[in-house]
Amino acid sequence: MGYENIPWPLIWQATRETLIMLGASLALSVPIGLVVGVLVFLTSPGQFWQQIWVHRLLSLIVNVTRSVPFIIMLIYVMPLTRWLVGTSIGVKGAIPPLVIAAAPFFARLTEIALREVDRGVIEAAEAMGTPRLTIIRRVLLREARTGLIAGITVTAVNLVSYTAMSGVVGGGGLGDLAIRYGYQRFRPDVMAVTVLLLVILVQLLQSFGDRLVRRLSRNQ
Amino acid sequence: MGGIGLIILDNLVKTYGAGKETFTVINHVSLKVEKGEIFGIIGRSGAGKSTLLRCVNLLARPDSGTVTVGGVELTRLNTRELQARRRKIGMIFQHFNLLSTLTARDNVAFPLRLEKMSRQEIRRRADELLELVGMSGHADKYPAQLSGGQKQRVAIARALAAQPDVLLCDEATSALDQETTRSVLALLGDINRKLGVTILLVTHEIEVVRSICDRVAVMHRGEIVEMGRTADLLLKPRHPATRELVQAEDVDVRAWIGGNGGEDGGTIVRVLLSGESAGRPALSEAVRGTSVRFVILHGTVSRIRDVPYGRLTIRFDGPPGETSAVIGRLRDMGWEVESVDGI
Repeated sequence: MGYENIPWPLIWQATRETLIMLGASLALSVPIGLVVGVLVFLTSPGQFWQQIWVHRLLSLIVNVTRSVPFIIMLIYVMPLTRWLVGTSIGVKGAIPPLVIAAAPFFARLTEIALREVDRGVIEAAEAMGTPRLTIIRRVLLREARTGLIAGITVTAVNLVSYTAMSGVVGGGGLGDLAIRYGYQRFRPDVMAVTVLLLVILVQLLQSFGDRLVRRLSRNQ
Repeated sequence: MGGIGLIILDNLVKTYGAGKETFTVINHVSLKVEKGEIFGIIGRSGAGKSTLLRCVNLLARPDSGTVTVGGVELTRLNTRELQARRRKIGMIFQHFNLLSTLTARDNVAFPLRLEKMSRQEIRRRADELLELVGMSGHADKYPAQLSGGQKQRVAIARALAAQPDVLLCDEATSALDQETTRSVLALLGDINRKLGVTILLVTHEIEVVRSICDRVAVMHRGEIVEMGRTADLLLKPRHPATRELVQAEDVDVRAWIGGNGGEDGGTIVRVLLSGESAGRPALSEAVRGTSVRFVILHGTVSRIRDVPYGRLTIRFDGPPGETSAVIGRLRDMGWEVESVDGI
């Protein structure tokens, strides 16, 4: 079978769906994960909002959500999804579970990135009388920025692979196309094209992230 | 000094841990630092001196006792008031603690951005400060591109940005080599003189105290065991902890004495001369007309702030009667002579 019969419109449609799911879920999980990650970090022992029980609770929630396989999460949170966006199917229905899976993951990466920030720099900012929200913004997040960008990159790449599973709820996208056409209908050409597109997408994300990290850390 | 004290620490206690594991880091410490002076707190690591320094701006909160800076009792302030007051208390650190993602200029500008100032004003002021610390040529460099001494200079500029009346220095030269230490200390001395900034510093290096401190307190196991004018304290240490710090530099003398001490009938003494008496040819005057001869086993001549002093270890050989007469003459001439058995 040659490549002349490839259903290009379907492939473009799937690419669009993947990009929408990726963009929307990334746009939501990054801020949510960032806030949760900052809270997990700042409530840990020795930090300025030290609250052991809040820290443990948040940490537990993050761990539990991270240990549920995405395919199960997708089905398990359906009632919540329906309540949030009015439907549990299609691209729209796929976004809440994607966020629920990716936000805790990014929260953990945020916490790790913040732990890398020199404690002394935070102390110096405190000694200068810097308000705490300003310390978070202008010291913590700034000093941790390369780690955070690397974290966003990893989260985005993970999201690409999660979107492939969203076909289960009719979310569409490239992964779904690969399963329905490439696998179930024995269309290796479609399979090859979708996989190639996914590889290119991941490559673009990763090299964009890496380049940004390199640029920001040039002088540090 | 009989002033009211710019920094007053009153009966501070600070413990870490809880229950049986409680460890008292600061044990009922009271201290007064006068406006305009350079005050040093010296002690070995773990003596509690860094924690004590952190109590001054409440980076560490004492369990009990009060901290008063410039007439304001910090221990009573709420978070917002404390933040405002902290802007007038500069602080520098052993590891400089500059933001690695900001240039030297932006690091200095950091505290300025907390005030209501225009961008141009901030930039102008930051450049002025960099000039003050001799870093004008490095404004656009990042900390990673600077040497340790240069980083500390930027940190000093940053600490001075909000025109503080107090500068706290936490082992500010401990990560620097000797020569850089000297130049950073000279800069701190300049700042103290030119800007009238009161400096409270913590160190484990006797050299730091010797070269810039007006007064010094010795901290040992969470307590201040001795306090006084630098020259007095260094030349006449009373507490064992002070002696240990001061004498750490002439350990070899003791080794010397241990090997040769008195076996041939000589008398070994340690003498201390400071101020005017340091300039006189007292030794040759003292032995004139006697059969006593002397050998200088060890000696250091240096200055503490602006006071020249010398410390010598001398062996006198001669009849005991004459030797004690010689020692008497030295004492008359203002030398302090101490028998080495007393070490």
